[in-house]
Amino acid sequence: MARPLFSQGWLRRNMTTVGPIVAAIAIIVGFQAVNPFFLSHDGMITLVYAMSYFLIAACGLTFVVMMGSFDFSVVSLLKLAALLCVLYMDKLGFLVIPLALIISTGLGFINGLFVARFNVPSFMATLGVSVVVEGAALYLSKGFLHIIYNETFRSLATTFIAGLPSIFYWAIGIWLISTFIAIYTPFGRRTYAVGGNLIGAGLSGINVERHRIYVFMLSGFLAGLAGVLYMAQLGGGSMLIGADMPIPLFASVVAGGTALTGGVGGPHRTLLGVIIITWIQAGMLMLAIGRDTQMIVFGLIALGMSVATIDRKRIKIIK
Amino acid sequence: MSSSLILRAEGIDKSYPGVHALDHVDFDLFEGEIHVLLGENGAGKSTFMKILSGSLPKDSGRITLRGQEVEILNPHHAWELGIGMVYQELSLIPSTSVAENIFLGRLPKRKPLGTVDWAETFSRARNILDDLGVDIDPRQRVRDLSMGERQLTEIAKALSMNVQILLLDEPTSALSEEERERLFHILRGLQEKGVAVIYVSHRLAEVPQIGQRVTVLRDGKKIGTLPVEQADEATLIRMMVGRELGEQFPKTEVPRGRELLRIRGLTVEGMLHDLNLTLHEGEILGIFGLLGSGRTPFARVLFGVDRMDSGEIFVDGNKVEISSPAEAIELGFGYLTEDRKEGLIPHLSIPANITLASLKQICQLGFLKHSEERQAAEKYVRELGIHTPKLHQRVEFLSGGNQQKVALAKWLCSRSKILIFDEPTRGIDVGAKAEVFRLMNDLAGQGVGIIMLSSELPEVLAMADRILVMAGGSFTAEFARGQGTQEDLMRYAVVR
Repeated sequence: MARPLFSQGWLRRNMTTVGPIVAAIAIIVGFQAVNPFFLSHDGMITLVYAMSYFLIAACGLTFVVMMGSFDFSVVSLLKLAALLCVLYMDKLGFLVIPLALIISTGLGFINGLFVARFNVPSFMATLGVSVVVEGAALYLSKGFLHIIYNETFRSLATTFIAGLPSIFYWAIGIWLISTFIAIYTPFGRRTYAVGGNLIGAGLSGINVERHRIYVFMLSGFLAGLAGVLYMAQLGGGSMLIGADMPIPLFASVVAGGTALTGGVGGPHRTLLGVIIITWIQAGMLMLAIGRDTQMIVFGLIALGMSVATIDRKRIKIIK
Repeated sequence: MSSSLILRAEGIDKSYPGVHALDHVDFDLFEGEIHVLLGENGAGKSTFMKILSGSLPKDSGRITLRGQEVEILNPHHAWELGIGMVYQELSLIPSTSVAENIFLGRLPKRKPLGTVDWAETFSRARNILDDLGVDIDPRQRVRDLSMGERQLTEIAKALSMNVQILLLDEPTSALSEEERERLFHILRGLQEKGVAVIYVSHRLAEVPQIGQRVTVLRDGKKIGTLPVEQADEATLIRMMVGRELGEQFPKTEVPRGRELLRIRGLTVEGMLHDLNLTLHEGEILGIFGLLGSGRTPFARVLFGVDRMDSGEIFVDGNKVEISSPAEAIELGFGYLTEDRKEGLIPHLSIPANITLASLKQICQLGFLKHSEERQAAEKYVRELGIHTPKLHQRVEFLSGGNQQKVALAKWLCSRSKILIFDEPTRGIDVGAKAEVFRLMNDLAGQGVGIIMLSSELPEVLAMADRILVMAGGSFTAEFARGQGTQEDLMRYAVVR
């Protein structure tokens, strides 16, 4: 007997995979139809710049979400790392890059310490750290716009290879490594296990406390790396770096199919989520749609995606 | 029976993935009757109670209350219909007072602002408790109460809502003899006031003490309803198990090998007292204890989840310190938790769950070898007879018995020599039970030492080479295989 190619049950089971693909295609076709600039060469460069730093940070956040936690501090860590580069490049030279990465990783460690050791809910711990970091960034930058004049530093992100800027290759490289870690390493497996059932993971011999700290450190590290490369891309910045990032960033992880309940999804999915979110953002900019409308759109996307991916069976109590 | 029918359930049906929990069950209840619902673990008693109390939807069937068909939507709706449930896992809030728990969600209000009228709350709670003949201070916090007192608080809560049908799910499993007597006395008092009670139990001895009629469930089917006068123990056992115990749990004799584990003076202040035991290769050591006896805390200490205050543990004759599950696994321990969901990762596939405790073994240069993982999983799926449509099925979609086998496979994969089974047959059907026991036999035959923690007398008696009885955090008696009867064991298991 002939079976339909996609039965209804199949579609329902694979919604988190099919949904993002359909959405991404719809967005590309839609914007291209309205504005042919979208997929032109210059348009592509814009799109790639918009998504690359974003993808790096989103990969780190994905691990945290896979683990069933959340990291609100990603954008602040990105901002701090970016500002450290612009502020201290003159004094420290390229040493500023490892310094920025160590500091952001260290702050990730502090996130993890509060969550795993002191049992502070991750949204609160990371929000707290994020506010402290924002304060530090404001203190260091004095609120001014700072410009970076070191062309070698800028070339980290802006060298063109095969028609696309180097930051794109950084991002794809990080994405590939993240995907590999998630699927092919004990670290990745443990992350899924802790996200799927914290107690069961502990009873299977996983040092849950240590692992959670590691994941927050990874998230901090990738936030820092995204910040460094973003600064190389921009060539300067102020406290406003990443100002419109938080909700789109969270939405991109969820839109890819990594549910906030943890234990499912993974960085391989986050690429599509990032494409969907950042290209909507860029597309709207190209059409000169204002920030007001953008904010409304992204708020709604974040809410909608959360509803679509969350596993309601597993959440008995929402606090 | 002269009194009138208050509740009738017809053709109640309920399925979970892999388990037909209730198979067209009929049931009726008269005013002022105490109707015992008897059955083994997994017979469907709790599922039936949950459907009557509105916390689970039925798949099909009809429920009539005083002649009117009703659809019980949720627990709150059940209360409104006069059906009150006292749960096995108590639903009280430990950090609040007895009175607040009794009137939870319906605290008396004071006009005009709608603030809580505390004087009224405590005096009304006092009245309800007095009516029950219970001496509990309504201002006391629930966490300071004994298990028996909590149970009575639950009942007081049910009665405060003018309940006409009271559902009690294994109310005596955590109670002392004395508390049990008091509960029975109180139930008889309620009966005189016309309250009907459905009393769930798997204790045969309780049936004639408390009930007028008894209904036996087995594997989700109703086997029959009898007046208690006709329900002698032999009849009930036949109805409950359907076949001889020996046939159900075939035990093979295994020669006992060298000593694997020795525990001396294991103590956790206020919980476990001076526990001593030895376990040998090929031995199944049964530890029989009721709820609250300290079985699970003991297992958790042994597996490094919780700390002990004093005592010594020797593995293969060497003194060891176990301060985390990772260390316990390294020493060859495996722990199958009472609640399977606690030990498994439901979202992960069968292979991922099986290898979770031995990730290092399937790694090469720090990377997972998926091919080796698949081979290991295929091996255990075959050897343990795990029934699954595909190898990479998520374990959340497996039946209870198959989940239990995956949990076991995890410890076989990590090469456990000492396996702790905590209630190995909880919530799995009879066929799967027999298979779990067969696997325990096989493992013992391969020289694995097994500690079987259980509150199921027939299972412990049938499977264990040696039985320790646990009560109040101490071992109270030891029996060699074939020495003790159910009554002997039970006598030592009840806290005095």
